[in-house]
Amino acid sequence: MGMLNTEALAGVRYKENDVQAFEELVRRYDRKLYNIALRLTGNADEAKDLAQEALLRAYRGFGSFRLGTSFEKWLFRIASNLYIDRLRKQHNVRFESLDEPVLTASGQVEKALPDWSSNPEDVAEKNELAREIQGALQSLPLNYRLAVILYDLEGFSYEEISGILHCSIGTVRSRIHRGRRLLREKLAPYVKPAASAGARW
Amino acid sequence: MIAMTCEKAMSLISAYLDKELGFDEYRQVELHLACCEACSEEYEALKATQELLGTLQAAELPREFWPELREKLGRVAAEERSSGLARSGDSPSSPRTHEPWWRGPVLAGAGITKGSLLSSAAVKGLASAALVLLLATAPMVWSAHKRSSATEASSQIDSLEPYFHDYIISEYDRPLSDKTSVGFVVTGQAVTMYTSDLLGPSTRVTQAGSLRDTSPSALSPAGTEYTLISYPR
Repeated sequence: MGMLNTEALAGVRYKENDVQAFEELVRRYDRKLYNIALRLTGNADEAKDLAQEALLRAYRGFGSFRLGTSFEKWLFRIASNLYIDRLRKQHNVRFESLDEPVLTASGQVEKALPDWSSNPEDVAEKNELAREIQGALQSLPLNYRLAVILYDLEGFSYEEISGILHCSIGTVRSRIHRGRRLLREKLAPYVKPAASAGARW
Repeated sequence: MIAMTCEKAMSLISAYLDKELGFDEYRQVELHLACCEACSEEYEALKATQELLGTLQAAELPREFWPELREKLGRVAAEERSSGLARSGDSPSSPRTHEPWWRGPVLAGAGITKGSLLSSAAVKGLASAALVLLLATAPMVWSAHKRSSATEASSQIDSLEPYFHDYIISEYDRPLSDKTSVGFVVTGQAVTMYTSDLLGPSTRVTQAGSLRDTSPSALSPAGTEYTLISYPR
């Protein structure tokens, strides 16, 4: 993914009007950033706020950006960290295994994952299918959702995602896979019958 | 002959679909799919799911996005200018001396080490009252002025931690960078060195004799100046 001219980057925070220089720098990522935020949050207002806040943090924290590394990844990492932080703060989320059943007084129950995100219908999708897909994305555990969004919607490689999400490639692989399998179940009515299944015979 | 079990093949199907497997694994999954109907159906279903995701259209930026953000950025810039932390003497040729995110109240209490990269026991032990400063490129003297009380500092940990992580991670993203020159001063007495290998980051803690002597308890007083000298290889 696009590596920036490092001299251009170096100059950004030293100009007289560095806000303008910063804007010029990040303009090429703003739409992508906003779209990631939109798919994550499922809400246009929240997405705008998240993307703006990420850019503000990038501006404030520009000194910690290392020239020669991918600015894009750095930016998206800030955004995903920010979103995770927000969820944690809002809901006092504890991160625990999603797979283990919970033992309650009345016996073992499957863990039902609360959906803290906003109503997916908030996203002004023009058609029903898009709404369904967004809704299905919204229902994914956050880690799966992030990985699937970054790969299937934003076109990052596994390696790049491992850099953004700060996890191993093996983890990226399994999150994408699990995320897609959940999506497949949720979107079953829309997943066309595999016409070519069995055609390999 | 089915060289790969269904279980294994199933777990690799998405990576196969994405062509994110090594040659051998890719070949084995391919062979397996050719003779296993169940896995082949799974493959088709996941492929269809992926195609479905691909139908989502990218949204345009809201019209007010930049006008609003420009205003916010302007406020931040104005705060920075008036905060007395003026960046005098900085020049484009020495970007790392630019007053960075850890300016001012960086003296972090416990908590800055809670990130997973810093989870090694050795680091935890050292960093209960941590002054964390980044040492960047080769020998260079860094100063940091502690400008606010520890309480103020601790309130900043949350917002600071992501950047701290970003910095370490971004180091790993640089294939040719000298990992041993990346140091983090912890407690003012030791430099935490991050080294990288093919499997990812590992952590090593080294005593840094070249640092000005500051004991952890001496880190708190306001107005203290710490000078760090990058750790010699």
